[in-house]
Amino acid sequence: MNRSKTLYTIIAVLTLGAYAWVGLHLTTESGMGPVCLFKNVTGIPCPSCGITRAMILFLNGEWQAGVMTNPFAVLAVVAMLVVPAWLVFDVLSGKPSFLQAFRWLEERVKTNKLIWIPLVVLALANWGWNIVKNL
Amino acid sequence: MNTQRVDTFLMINARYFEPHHLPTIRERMLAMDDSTFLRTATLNFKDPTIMLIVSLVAGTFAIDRFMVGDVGLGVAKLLTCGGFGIWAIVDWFIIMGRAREVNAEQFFNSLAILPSGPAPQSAPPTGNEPV
Repeated sequence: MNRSKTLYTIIAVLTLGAYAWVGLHLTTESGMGPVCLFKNVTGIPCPSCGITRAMILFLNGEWQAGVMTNPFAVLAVVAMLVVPAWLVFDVLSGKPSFLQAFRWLEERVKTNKLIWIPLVVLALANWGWNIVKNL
Repeated sequence: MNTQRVDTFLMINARYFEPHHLPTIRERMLAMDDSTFLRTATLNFKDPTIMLIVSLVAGTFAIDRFMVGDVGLGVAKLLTCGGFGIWAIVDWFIIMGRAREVNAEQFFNSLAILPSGPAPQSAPPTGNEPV
């Protein structure tokens, strides 16, 4: 019970943070600038650099440009739309369905090489692409 | 299990666990038979120090979270660029504790899967077991 509450809190804070982050970048010219530790230290973009820019392109209707900026943004948009609704549903219904799905997915990814190796390769390829694009 | 062997194991491996886990681990190991002891003693525990180094170097990519087995949180941390830079820093301080926590979970889970106690050995042979 305690652990699941922690998970729900972390996920809720991250989602709210994501909305606040995108909102900040929409209302101001450059937001807070790059906060990415890795990029600030090394100057090389990290695997998820450019997601904010891609999301703002999405909101302006430029789907193709958004996906070309960082394909991870699609995943982030889906998560930002699905996760809050799911969390609210769980809180209202009192069922831990999000937690169960989360655990099930985690277990599947961890134990099945056919799932996690392609995912790692895709993430690395995307990172390479980010570096080539110099986001 | 022999007290001396259990204490030697704990002396060598204490850094893999939280201090409050150790009394329970010792108790459970003392109650084990030889083969169970060998199998649990050779489990592959995660080194908290290595996790700290990974967290410092590649925390914004969530590699530390993936390595301790928190895949779901790892994806969330990766997509938010280390939780907007904050979580990455928070994890420098909590990842060692999390690694010890995961090691203890692994230890106790292995006990749940492995046959506990000497019961199977003490059963008299019936003569028709599979060879």
